Amino acid sequence: MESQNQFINALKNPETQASAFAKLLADYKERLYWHIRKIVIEHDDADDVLQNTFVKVFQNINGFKGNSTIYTWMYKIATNEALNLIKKKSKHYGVSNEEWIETKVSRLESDSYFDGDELSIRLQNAVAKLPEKQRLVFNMKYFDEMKYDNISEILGTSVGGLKASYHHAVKKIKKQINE
Amino acid sequence: MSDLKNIKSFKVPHNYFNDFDKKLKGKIDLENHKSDFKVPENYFSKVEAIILSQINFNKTKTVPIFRYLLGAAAAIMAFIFITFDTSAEDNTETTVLILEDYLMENSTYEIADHNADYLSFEMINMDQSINYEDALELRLLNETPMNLNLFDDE
Repeated sequence: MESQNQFINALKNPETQASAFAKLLADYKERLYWHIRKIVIEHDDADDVLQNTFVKVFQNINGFKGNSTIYTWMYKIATNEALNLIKKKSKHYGVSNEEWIETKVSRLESDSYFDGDELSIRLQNAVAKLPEKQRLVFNMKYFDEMKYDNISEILGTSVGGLKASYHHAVKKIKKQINE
Repeated sequence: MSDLKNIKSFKVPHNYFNDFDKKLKGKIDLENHKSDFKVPENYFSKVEAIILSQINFNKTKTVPIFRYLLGAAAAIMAFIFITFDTSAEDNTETTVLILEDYLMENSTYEIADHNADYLSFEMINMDQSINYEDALELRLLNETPMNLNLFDDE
């Protein structure tokens, strides 16, 4: 905790923030990218969201109180940014968020930055059909292998609620894949 | 006694052992599909430079409190104006839509960045002739009237 506080102070101090921010970027860019990518599906969208996330982290670092770890705080920003992108784009094209994601997943086969086979596409299709909250929980638990405590901090949901969401998500996905 | 070992009291579902391999393979395959998404070559080294180029380290963003107050005062004035100005009923609904969009699409920081002039002249121009239906349609298309330059007299 002490080292985190020191690191946060370095991020807030104009003298040291450039090097601290470069370290933050180096440490977290990949983890955040994959988290975002699974929410927005396409690389270009994930790239936009990743950049916005780090810019927001920098802009708001002075307001970071240290009540959570910087890792969960950044995940929270990344999740909100990714969901906002989906909301904006789906609104722009006059479709629901779920329809937008399903369209993206339906194009995975021809996506040059996706090399999954039929089973993988079926898995993504099943995940895309989940309600937003269950989709987030499933991605974070199954793909990112995050602990419920961390997911709870990021999504602001109780651990019990998350377990129920994950359970429902797995059930639906199994059913969908076996159909 | 040794014969008892071979008594098959326990049963398995039909074709269980034939299907087991397939089921296990499916599970292992799913595990392998955790990384089917790819990124362009050298993406992670390039994106670092791109992000760093967007940040001005010498100028950490600080938002003075008076800018919050100015923004809040302008929003309150605009609200009072549109609520009590009965002479512009049609425009009132239009302006409420535009204001709602503005408040939804901008964070507190962004609103604080906009000055009072932005609110009073650019966004809420009550003299403009755009009607409610147009504003609603534009809202559905995720455009604001300002973006489309519909205020220009033709």
